[in-house]
Amino acid sequence: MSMNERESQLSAMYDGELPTAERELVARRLSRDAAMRETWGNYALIGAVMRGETLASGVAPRVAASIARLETAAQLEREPADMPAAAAERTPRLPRWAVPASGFGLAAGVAVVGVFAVLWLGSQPPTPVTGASVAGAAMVPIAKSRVAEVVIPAAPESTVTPDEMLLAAAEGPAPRATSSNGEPLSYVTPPVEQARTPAGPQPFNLASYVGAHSAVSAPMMRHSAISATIAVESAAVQPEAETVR
Amino acid sequence: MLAAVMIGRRAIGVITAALCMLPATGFAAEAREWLERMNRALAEQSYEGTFFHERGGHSESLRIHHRVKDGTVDERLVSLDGAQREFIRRGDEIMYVLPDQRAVLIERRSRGGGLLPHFPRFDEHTARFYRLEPSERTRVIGRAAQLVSLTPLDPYRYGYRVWIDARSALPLKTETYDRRGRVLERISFANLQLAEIPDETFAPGVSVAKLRRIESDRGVRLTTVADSSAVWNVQTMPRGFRLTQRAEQALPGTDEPVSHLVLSDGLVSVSVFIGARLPPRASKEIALERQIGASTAYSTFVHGHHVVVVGEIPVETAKLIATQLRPQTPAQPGRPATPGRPAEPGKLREAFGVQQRPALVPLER
Repeated sequence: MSMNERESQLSAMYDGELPTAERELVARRLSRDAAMRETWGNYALIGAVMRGETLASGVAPRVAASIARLETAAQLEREPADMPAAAAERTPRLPRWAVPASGFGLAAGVAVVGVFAVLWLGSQPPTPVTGASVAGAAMVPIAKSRVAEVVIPAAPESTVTPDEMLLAAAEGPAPRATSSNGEPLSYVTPPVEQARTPAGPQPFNLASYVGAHSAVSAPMMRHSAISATIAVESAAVQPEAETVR
Repeated sequence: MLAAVMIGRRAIGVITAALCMLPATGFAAEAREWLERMNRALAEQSYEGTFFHERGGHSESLRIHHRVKDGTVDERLVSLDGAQREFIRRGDEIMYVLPDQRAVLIERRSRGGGLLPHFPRFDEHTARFYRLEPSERTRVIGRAAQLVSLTPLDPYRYGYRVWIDARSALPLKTETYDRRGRVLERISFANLQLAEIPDETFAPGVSVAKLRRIESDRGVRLTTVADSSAVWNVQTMPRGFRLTQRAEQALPGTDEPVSHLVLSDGLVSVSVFIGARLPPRASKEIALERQIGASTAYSTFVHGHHVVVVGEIPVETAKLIATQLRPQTPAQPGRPATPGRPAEPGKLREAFGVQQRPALVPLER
């Protein structure tokens, strides 16, 4: 069976369109095939995002959080674009990128200079900049993987449903240590001085990547891409942008 | 039968999309033509101008000089506010002048490792993911302009309104907005004209003699080593995106070449950089997400490798792309490649040519 057929089958199964007999077959294959399980996990995630589904409360927090995060997009989707301005004002909303599910947004919302420019200048410590601490604030810790790892029970039930699959996934590796409000117990502040040892992490400078991208960015967005490289942003958390319509 | 079901569902989606576009077809063709003209002008013409870059409540004024001469692009962007930061591209050399950091960053890339400039085409494929409004004749900064509006049809991309100069076809004003219609970014030119630009324009405006020079490793060669020999693919693309380019690049701070994938939906592009394999403890230190206006940068750890996604896309799309990256080790699994042997880019490209996968994301209800 080709990869595409397999994917079609998975997609149909996910949408509940697969006959029972075939479902059993696929479920058995899922239990054996790690790559296929991964694809399934992706379907579950993408499907949930696209439908803006709220997962059953029984789903473990780890899976729920990773999905909730991607769900934000779908959530915004369903809100009417012409929401009355007054209503929008009453419930001030942070830009969606400033509100990650893991609650790091506000920590990062302090003055950041040259957001896209120099993050780490190789082994040399950045020149101190007047005002708020810059180097530390430029880094935002993010939860690692967004894709739930789907763990299928050794002998899957023939009538396994997508939700059960997700429940199974929830029994994966233990989540990172977090406090009750979802904040991590510790933040990682990048070292200002970074030794360039082959074994250690290499310093990286985001400006290099944005610069490399600007060479291939769409002509229409070219000015945007290169402006971003030298932009001096004074606040990461911004007020609600205006509405076109 | 299964196939029939799949085809059936897809067909419904296509028909729905077709019906949505039907009334605007005639005008949309004109709007599309304007987009093409603009893309050509931006890619082929030399121009200079001053513009305001607004995002959130902020506005910054910048001056741009863009020259295309003998197939080489030279560019200089100067921030006219605050610390006079500059970005200068001279062919394969990029320079950041950062007086506030008292630093100059210089990077050189070998021509072989670079990518061709990318010119997406707004074709039938792209038309499925944006609603193109009929273009309108209007006026901006005292000039006749054509307004072209593109509305995204899903959450994976942004929408645009572009005011295109009727004479030069350069964009006088560009607005990027999200699906709710909130303007994320506006670039509006106070003046913009086609121009002959002399060489001396592409020198920094401030003295760089006293600034710290930070140069990228010049010794970086394109080599095949065990890790970089894996070819990376995006398993499930966000709907409408396709892999358009693939290359190996040398970037500062990395000893190994970085794989650079370019994805595009025909209107915007996304760069995916897959770098060195890092020890797991590095994962927290490289984790980062940044958005400025319409630009997103997302740095993370995928299958043990450092991955950076940069593009004019929502951060969710960038994350989705990162989660879908898969290394695909070519022939002779288990046998480590010989380090130091020069890569054969032509061969590599031929062997692992651009793969196109159908978008697997289910159609909306």
